[in-house]
Amino acid sequence: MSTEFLPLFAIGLAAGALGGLLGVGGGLLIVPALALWGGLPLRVAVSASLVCICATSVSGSAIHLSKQRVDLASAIELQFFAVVGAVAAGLGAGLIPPGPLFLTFAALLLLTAGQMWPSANKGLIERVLEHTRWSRARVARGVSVGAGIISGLLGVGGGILNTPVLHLVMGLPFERAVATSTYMIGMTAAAGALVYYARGDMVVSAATAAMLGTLLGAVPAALGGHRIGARGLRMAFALLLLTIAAMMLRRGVAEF
Amino acid sequence: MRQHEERAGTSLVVMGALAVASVLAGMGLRRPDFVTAGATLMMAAPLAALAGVAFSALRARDRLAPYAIGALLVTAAGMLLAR
Repeated sequence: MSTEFLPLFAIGLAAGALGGLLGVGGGLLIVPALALWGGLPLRVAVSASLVCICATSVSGSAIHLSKQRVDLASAIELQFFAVVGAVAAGLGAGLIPPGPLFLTFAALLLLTAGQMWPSANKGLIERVLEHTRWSRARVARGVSVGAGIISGLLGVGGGILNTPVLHLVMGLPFERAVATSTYMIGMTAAAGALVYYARGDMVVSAATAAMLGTLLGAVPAALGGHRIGARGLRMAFALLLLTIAAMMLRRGVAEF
Repeated sequence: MRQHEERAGTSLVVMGALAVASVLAGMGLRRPDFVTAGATLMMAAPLAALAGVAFSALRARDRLAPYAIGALLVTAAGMLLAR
């Protein structure tokens, strides 16, 4: 066991536990933690995060599929568009310097913090989707491409976009939308991760250490069977995301 | 559709379990190639599930087949381009 295993395992453990309990992808925490404190280059952190997302999706989806919670027809159709976005973004990430990627990640953290803030009845994405007049199929496909792009570029699952689309645009009940999104993000993350792996932007030992931690960390949420919706905890998590966003912004500016 | 779900679920369970076992064995036996194989298996698990769905969708002449096959082909093309 290498000396770097334990810190990376601990990062995965914390991200898996928080992500599972609060219903957000672990990638939002894993990428900043590995890049800011783990000392890994951003692209290596992104690829490690994508492997972690594969692992959490695989374990979660196996349960959801056995209980028939996944709308496989919607998932397979939208997954194609998400994979196109993830592969394109994964290829493009090899050409983009770290500075803009740090800043884009900070913007995503700010958006997610807004979604998590308890006083907001509905997040920005939900409000936009509710008022759009475009055809439902086009919106769903377009947003899936967007989810794939943020997944391949920033190493997150894309569930922040998938779940509202499946719930509000495709009309799935919320629990079913979450299960379907869990299944979809696995394939999207795998497509992106394989592009990074093929390019040589993956440190396998780091990715597997974080992956084992994430899998173990997700167990409490899986056993609990539901997410914690406590106002205080959501606010604390939103503040944590804001703090990380500020650090990512600072690092992004420094990288220019 | 139930057949697609069963294929996908079985693929995920088998590949995921093999991936974790391979990583743990690699760490225990100090064999980095096992760890690499485990990571690859974990990344391949969703693809295997999708391939299972594609296979049964093709046999059933389901409208999902082109989407499933298309996603697999796009992923393969992305890997080739990234090399």
